[in-house]
Amino acid sequence: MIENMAALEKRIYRSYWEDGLLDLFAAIGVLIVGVSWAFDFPVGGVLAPALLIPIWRPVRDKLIEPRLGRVEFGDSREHRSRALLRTSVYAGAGLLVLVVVAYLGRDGVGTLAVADLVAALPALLLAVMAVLASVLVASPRFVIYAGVLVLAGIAGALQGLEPGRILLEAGAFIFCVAVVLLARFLRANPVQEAVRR
Amino acid sequence: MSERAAPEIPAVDELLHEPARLKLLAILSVVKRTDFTYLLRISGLSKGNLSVQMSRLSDAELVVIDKSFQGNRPRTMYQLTQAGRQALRAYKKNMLAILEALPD
Repeated sequence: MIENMAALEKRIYRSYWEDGLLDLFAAIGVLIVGVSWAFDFPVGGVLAPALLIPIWRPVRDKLIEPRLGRVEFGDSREHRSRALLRTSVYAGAGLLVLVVVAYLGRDGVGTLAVADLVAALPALLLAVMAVLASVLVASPRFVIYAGVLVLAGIAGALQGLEPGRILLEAGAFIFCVAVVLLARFLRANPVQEAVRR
Repeated sequence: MSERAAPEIPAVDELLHEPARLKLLAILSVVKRTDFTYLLRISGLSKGNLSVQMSRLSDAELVVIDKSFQGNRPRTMYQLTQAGRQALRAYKKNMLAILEALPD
């Protein structure tokens, strides 16, 4: 029995994001940021939202909605989501600047261990974004991705890997999970034939 | 000797008292609007049953139906009306009163 209507709304909202498409976009975003770091052009990471955000709605309309259907949530949910999205964008931009500055100035950092961990910063930044995404879509799955990014960041940095390589490895893992989720969703949910009254 | 009046039992709206319709109204009460496919998935009802129940709710003006096309696909969106929201509120109040009056 559903305990209250807020729980029902949350359950419906969460189910809206369980198809794996957002996970796939997140993984591609991490991979784009990883490639840009690998080519020593970290600012190129801004290409990820610039490329992915415009195609999100058309892809979802084409791939997911014929199977899942369409739902529009109430104003309070929309306001909350928009506010959190705004916070995420500002926090992400601010943290990206900090990360780039810290990475470029890593040679001036006193101890070797701290200098090594600087390579983990981009992954840690994306982990923060993943936690915010988790709140945004009311799904603990993105907390797991955040954990993967943190682990990959710290482990990779301690092994002396470059940030790009760390992000590519973490991104590849998230990509695989996303593909499995999406494939499972597509298989389990064939396109519904239109039903008219 | 004075007779004690029987406690008044609130009337229950029979249109809402049907489990499938109540479920659909509960779903519609927590979202702004949704289409047939989404309701089908989230409610677990069959297409035929969902179609019939939504027709009844629409005929009673508890739900408003908006039909349109997205590309070449027809889309039917459902939204709870103000009357639907009030009916749901009254149903809850009446049911709570009845359940409260039941002996333990």
